[in-house]
Amino acid sequence: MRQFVQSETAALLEKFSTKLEATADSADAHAIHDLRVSIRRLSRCLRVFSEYYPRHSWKKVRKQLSKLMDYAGAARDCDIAIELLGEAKVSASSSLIVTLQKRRQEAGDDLQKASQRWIDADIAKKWRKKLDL
Amino acid sequence: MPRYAAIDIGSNSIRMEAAEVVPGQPARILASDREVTRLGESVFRTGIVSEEPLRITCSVLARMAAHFRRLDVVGVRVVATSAIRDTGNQREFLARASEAAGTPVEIISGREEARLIYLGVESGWPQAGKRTLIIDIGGGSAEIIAGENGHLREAFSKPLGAVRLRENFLVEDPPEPRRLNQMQQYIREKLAPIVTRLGRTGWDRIIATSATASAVASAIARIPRGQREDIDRLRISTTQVRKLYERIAELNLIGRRRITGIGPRRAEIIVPGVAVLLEFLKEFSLPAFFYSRAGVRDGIIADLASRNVGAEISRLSREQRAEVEAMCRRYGVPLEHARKVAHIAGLLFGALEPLHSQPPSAGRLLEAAAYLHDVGHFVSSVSHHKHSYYLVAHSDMPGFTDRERVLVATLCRYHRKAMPGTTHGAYQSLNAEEKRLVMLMIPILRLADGLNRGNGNAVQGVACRLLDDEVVLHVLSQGGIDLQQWAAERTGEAFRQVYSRPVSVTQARN
Repeated sequence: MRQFVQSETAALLEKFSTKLEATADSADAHAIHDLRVSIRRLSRCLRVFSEYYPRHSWKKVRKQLSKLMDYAGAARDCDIAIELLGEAKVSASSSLIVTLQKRRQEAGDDLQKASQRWIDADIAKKWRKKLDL
Repeated sequence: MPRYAAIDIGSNSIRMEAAEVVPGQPARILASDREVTRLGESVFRTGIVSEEPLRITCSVLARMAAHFRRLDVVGVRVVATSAIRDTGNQREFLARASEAAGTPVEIISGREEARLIYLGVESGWPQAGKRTLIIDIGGGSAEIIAGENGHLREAFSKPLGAVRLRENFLVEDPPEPRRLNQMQQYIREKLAPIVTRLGRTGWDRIIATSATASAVASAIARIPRGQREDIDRLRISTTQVRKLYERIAELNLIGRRRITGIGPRRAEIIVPGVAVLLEFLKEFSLPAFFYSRAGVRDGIIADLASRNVGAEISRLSREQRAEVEAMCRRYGVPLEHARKVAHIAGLLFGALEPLHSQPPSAGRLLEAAAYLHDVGHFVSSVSHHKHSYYLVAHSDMPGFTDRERVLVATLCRYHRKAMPGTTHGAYQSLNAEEKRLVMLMIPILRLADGLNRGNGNAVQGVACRLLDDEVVLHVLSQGGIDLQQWAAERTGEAFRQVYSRPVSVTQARN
């Protein structure tokens, strides 16, 4: 079982790492969606198999993932809001849409910066060590 | 609490009263004023209000209006009674008096006058479970009102005012016995059909109002005019009234003015006034009456309060409501729920006014936030309060100023979850006064939202009791209110933080 957990976690971590690099390159809606999915899957894996990781290590990783999820969530919320408001016939030049686009730009920039920081810090390698993979 | 003002333009005097009304409590009088103008004298003599009394009336009305305007009243009613009902130059009088008062003056019928008197008496001294007979002797007319168990049953208005009778019967001073007899006969003739209609027996309480009754009670109890508060609800026997009448009927004006409790102007018309009161007591075979200080003005204030006049200024205008409802539709908010929350929020805003002391304009912002607090669900149910904030803050909302829109958005932001904090940019960008308004309205919005949990039709009404150390909400509901109680408890902490007292929810009995 432990071997399975290690290989499953390593695969999800690898996938997360790939999506993180993609987001650092471009924080478009597609990349953010993929990143959020990879974060959610890795986070659930850590929670479900928590007893197979060194004590408390999984909690710290989940906490860090949660922070990145917040960055991605802020950008994703703006994408959804802009799309829904368009469907609700709110003019694209309205103050609301303009403000949301500005917020989306800022949130995307924040996410890209955060992703790059994590890549520079080689976060995947650190987590592999921490989780004893 | 709402403040109201009333002016009663009588045939003998003009009275003004301004009061603050707290539901379930006697009105708190903020100002009262009275001026003898004898409008009726010229009307009963010549058929029209002559120039001099009209000029005096306008000047008195202007003074009284200036007085009540300083008190921020939300509802005003100015009424004219008997003399103006009979005058030939009504149009001129109404135009000039309305201009002086700054508000339309209306001529009320004798029955409306009686209804207001009854309301005034009942609001200050409820007569639950009793059959009551009330007489109000004015300058031009006397109103006789029959009530039962707090409800007006029948009312009569007769031309038996003190000024009118003096003009018609008592020319000499002291009055001639022959003229007194004629006057008494006339009074009996006017009262006879009322006695036949209402009957002499079965009355639990007889109440006399008006300045005539006040003067009679003061004179009999030997209480000076300055201490008239002491005679409210005083019992006076028919024998005492008869003795007083016999005494004053023989005196001239100077003699009558010497009697303790009767003012110098009242002394001029006290004889016909007491004659009406005495004949009323005799014709109905009544042993005594109680004096009540209430009058038309108290009735007007009770009437304005019962109709919730002025509450509309704390509610959205038609255009504003149309705008927020359109936003609700655009963002998929169930309108029925939004309207219900807005209604409950309005009720709570009014009921909690003694605690928050915010102006009516704050009620409008609260109502708008009550409509719009859930628009954020349109974007995402996760942290929907935050989505509500930016949706409202950046939407075009005709009818609202930029600041109002930001305040509504901020209220939406805090309708759930965390209270405002030092790291919250939206809240910190408000000025001190706006922060205070938002902070005071947040618990009310949360309560209103909580009380409409589950079935949107469960809560039919909310009444509020403000105790020294607690606020109790009585919820009128068809079914159980467990869900509403649970929801209100969840919002209770915010209420306690802001208002320094807990809030509890109980089910009101139908």
